[in-house]
Amino acid sequence: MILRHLTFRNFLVFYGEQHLTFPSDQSENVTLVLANNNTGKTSIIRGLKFLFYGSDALALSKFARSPSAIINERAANEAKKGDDIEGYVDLTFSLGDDIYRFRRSVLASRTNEGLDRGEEILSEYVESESGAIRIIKDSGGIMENRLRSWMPRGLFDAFYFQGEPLDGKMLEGVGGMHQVLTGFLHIDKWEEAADALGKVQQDYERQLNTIAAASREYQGKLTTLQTTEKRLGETKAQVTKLTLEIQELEAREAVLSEELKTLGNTDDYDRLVQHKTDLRSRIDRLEADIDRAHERLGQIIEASQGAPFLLSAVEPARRVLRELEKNNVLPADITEGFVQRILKEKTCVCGRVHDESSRQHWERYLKTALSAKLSHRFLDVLNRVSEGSKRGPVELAAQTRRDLTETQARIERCKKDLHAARQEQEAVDEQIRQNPHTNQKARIAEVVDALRTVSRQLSDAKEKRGSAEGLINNLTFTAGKLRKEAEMAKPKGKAAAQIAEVERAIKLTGELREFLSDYRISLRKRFHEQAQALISALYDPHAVDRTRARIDPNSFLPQIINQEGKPVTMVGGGQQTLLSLAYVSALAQLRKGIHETMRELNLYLGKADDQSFMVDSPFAATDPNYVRAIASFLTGGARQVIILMARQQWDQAAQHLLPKASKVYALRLHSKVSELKNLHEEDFDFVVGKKTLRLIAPAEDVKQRYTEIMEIA
Amino acid sequence: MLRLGTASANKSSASKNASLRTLLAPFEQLTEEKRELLREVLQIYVSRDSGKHTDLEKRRRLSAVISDFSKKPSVEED
Repeated sequence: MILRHLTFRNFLVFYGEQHLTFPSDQSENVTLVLANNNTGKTSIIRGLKFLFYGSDALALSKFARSPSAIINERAANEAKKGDDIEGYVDLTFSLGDDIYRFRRSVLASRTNEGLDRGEEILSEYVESESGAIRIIKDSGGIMENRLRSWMPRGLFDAFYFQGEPLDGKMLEGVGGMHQVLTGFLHIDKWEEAADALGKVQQDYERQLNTIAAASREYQGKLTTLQTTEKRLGETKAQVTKLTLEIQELEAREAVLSEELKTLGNTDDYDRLVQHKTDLRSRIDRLEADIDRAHERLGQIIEASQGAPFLLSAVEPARRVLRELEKNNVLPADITEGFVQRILKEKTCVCGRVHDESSRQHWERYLKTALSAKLSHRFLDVLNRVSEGSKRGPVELAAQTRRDLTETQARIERCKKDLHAARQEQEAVDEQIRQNPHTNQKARIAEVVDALRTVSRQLSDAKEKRGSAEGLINNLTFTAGKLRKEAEMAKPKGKAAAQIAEVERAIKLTGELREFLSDYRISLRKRFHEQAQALISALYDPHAVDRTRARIDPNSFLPQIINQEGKPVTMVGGGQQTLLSLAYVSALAQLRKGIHETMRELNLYLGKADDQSFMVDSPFAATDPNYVRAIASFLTGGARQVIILMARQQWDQAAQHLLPKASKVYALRLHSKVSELKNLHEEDFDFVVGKKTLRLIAPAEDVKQRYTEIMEIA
Repeated sequence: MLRLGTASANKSSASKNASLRTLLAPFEQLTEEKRELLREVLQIYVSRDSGKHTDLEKRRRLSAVISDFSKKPSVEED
């Protein structure tokens, strides 16, 4: 579809009659429309949408309430009570060699409260051979259907982008492209043909039975053969159905996986979740370290054999032993009784008179060392001391002290780190709570559930298909055998010729039916191959970073891959825009190609010609390299492209676009004088070549603002 | 002023994308005879005009087409 003329009358911001004429020659394919924000760029796209689908398609609640809401406010206010007022969009376009002109208008009356609801009318302008123009109103929705078949609703948003920037949502909108393309080919009708062939085949089988009734033996064989073949046909149909079901499930699985990837792909969220995971591991490690250190403390104490505690008793014991040795009382029975006896004496074993200190010393010794609970280890130590190995316990005690100090210090360090890690974890938790992506958790859970279900259904379907395929093998073998037997029993003579003719009809219908089933199954793969070839040709040469475009074979969604063939997750605005443009352009070419190819089969599926594109502000969030790449793509690839340019993008893209433009329009806002005081008029300046255009002017009528379409070049 | 009905200029270049022909590859693998029959069948059920006929009319046309083809001597079988 190539646009020729577009006329607005009192439509949204356009007051009175305003025109756009689009060059459509292959060499003059670019039209620019310059406009500031909120001055009518989107109204142009809405105008097309209104023409094709009516006021209900304009996604604004007030339009849904009343068609007359499309009528320009200024025009509505100027009408007097009882006056009729009309607003319309009039479009002339070509499809192949044919030119069409349609007008959708709303006729409303002015009442005390404003405009009434109004009536929406779709008309076609048809020119007779004499040159007279007839205006034909739509009747029974025939024109509506024609318009919708030429510009399917599901494709409109892809071909006529609105809003900025182009983003993944647009692609999601056309994600069901396989279904749309299947619709182009009218696959439902192919199914109808396959069913009809099945029914005709049954008719012929009945006919064959009637002929065969003359020979009982042949009839018997034939009946068995037909029963087997019927079962074979049913099983094959089941396999086709299951294969299509598997394709759909695989597509669903791919779309869900893609969504899951997108949901889990928010960099901030991912980073936070990863940080939280790392912190959790760190906390676990620190807690384990602390546990291990406590365990180590026990081991150190156990390994010390009580040496540090016993050592305090070693020196007095040594003195005692020395004295005992001196007094020749060794080997003495070192018992509690022995100490008690010493304490009862006036003098100590060393010969000095007991004083308070020595008594306390012996009492302490009695309590700690020579009590009834005197341990064997202490005795060992004392024995070792007595044997002169005094360095053992000293070293052991020193080592124990060092180990204990070190381990305690480690515990302290771990505790400090643990505290810090826990505080950091709380902070990260808070950030995760505040991250908008967290709200998608529910969706993630849903997607994961859905994926699980799809996966189960897939596995069931594949299992069933496997069994059915096994059955087909058996039935095919049996049918072959039965066919030979029936052949042997076939009657001769005139009946044989009749039978041969009917059998041929049965064979033909069966083969065609099978062909249609197989073709439906292979169609997805073929769509994918074509879509991939087209998008590669469109995207790859323009990508400035050597990335490539890929179309997922299941979901049919486009993605960007790097030189190693791995998906690029961080996609910039420029790449995304280029990918989107290449994708819709590829689909438009595919659509046209399918229609042309089918025409070679003498199958006229309807009109699908070169496609016009209207792109609103395609340079948002784009670096200069991609501005160049997108400009080169837009001006070089499409058959007809209309670029709506906002002021903030014009400065960087003008140099690339102006030399290629065949026509330049500008939308000038006639603003209320009171509004002008609050606006910077220079913000409305567009530099076009050597001229500066100020696209704002004081409205002669101060009540309502409106937009005027001006042809600049 | 453009004349409605027929484009005066800018005829579609009808640039045929050779690779798109692979969509038709399965058709091309059929014998000429079967391709012809399939074309007839699709004319009845898939072409733009198919909606103008009732189911019964389409069935009758289909039976007639199959019957005609099955009476012709088959090149394949010969």
